[in-house]
Amino acid sequence: MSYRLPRRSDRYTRCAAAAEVDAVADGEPVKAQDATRSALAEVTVLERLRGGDERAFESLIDQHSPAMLRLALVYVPNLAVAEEVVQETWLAVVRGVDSFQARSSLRTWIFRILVNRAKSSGMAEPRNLPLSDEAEGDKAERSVVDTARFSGLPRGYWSSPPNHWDELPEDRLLARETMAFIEGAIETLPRVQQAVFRLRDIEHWTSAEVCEALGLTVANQRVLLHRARARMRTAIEEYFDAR
Amino acid sequence: MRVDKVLRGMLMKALALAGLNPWLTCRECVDLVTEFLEGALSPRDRALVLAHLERCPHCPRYIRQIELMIRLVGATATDSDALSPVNRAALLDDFRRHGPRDPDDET
Repeated sequence: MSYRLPRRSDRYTRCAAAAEVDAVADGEPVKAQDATRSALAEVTVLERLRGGDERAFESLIDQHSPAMLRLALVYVPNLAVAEEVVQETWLAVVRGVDSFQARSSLRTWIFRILVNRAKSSGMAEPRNLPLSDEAEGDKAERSVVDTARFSGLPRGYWSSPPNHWDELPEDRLLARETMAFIEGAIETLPRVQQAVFRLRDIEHWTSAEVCEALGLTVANQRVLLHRARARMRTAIEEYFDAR
Repeated sequence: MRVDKVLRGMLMKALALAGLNPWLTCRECVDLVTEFLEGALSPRDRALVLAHLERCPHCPRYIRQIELMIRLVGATATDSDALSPVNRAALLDDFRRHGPRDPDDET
């Protein structure tokens, strides 16, 4: 299969350079519109579910199961357990949908059930993932790029600046090999970072939704995202550096 | 790269060497990138980041790379979306039986 870059107009990629930065503000109303539209769609889905509409349930399963499986894999030791967690989550959704109070969105509610189940299933056989920075959102230390790269004179300025991998042609960036590397790199992120990163930058959830689904504070969520993004950028830089 | 930008970059470093730089260092700028992209900075910090980006030859590239990384990661997602991790028949069956319409006959 071939890979395509999501369009630059994507709301997460708008401020490409300092000169364009102020254009970011122009995008806000669009975001708000999107949110309203999806909130309306959600109310409809919820009503149909409560009315026993199988089609609505099926399309909800199709829509969310792949992302749920990937998120479950962050917490549990293998695919079989992850699949079980996804299945159990849907059963819990069926039983809970009537008492679900639309204080959070439907999908954050579903994913919160998923994460709680995945966490308790994962507890039995912890997966071999770096756990050391599980609570890293609380740490005071913030620098995410190797400090050695700012060690020249004057201090604090790039002595080893980012290399130019962003100028590589698209077919290099999107090569099957690169994509495989990136997928592997995501899997090596510490779990909470990985969960945040997947929901924010792959599923394009808002930070409020991620906080809700994963039970994080806004500040905590942002630090985790910050670290995950920095790690991913560095990983890609090193990958292209090595060839 | 434009000449005036190079000159401003040199001025920034020269001032920094003399301990006088009123702007952010690269390291500080990099540490604020996510808050900057999220629009979560105070107006003052945002202005500081923008002032740094206008002068720095490297940090704008760092931000571009963060954004490009996100787009690349987005491109990987299409790959495994064909996964069907659920036993759909069992779920639908369950939905029919425990369907929420009839909370009364849940005996």
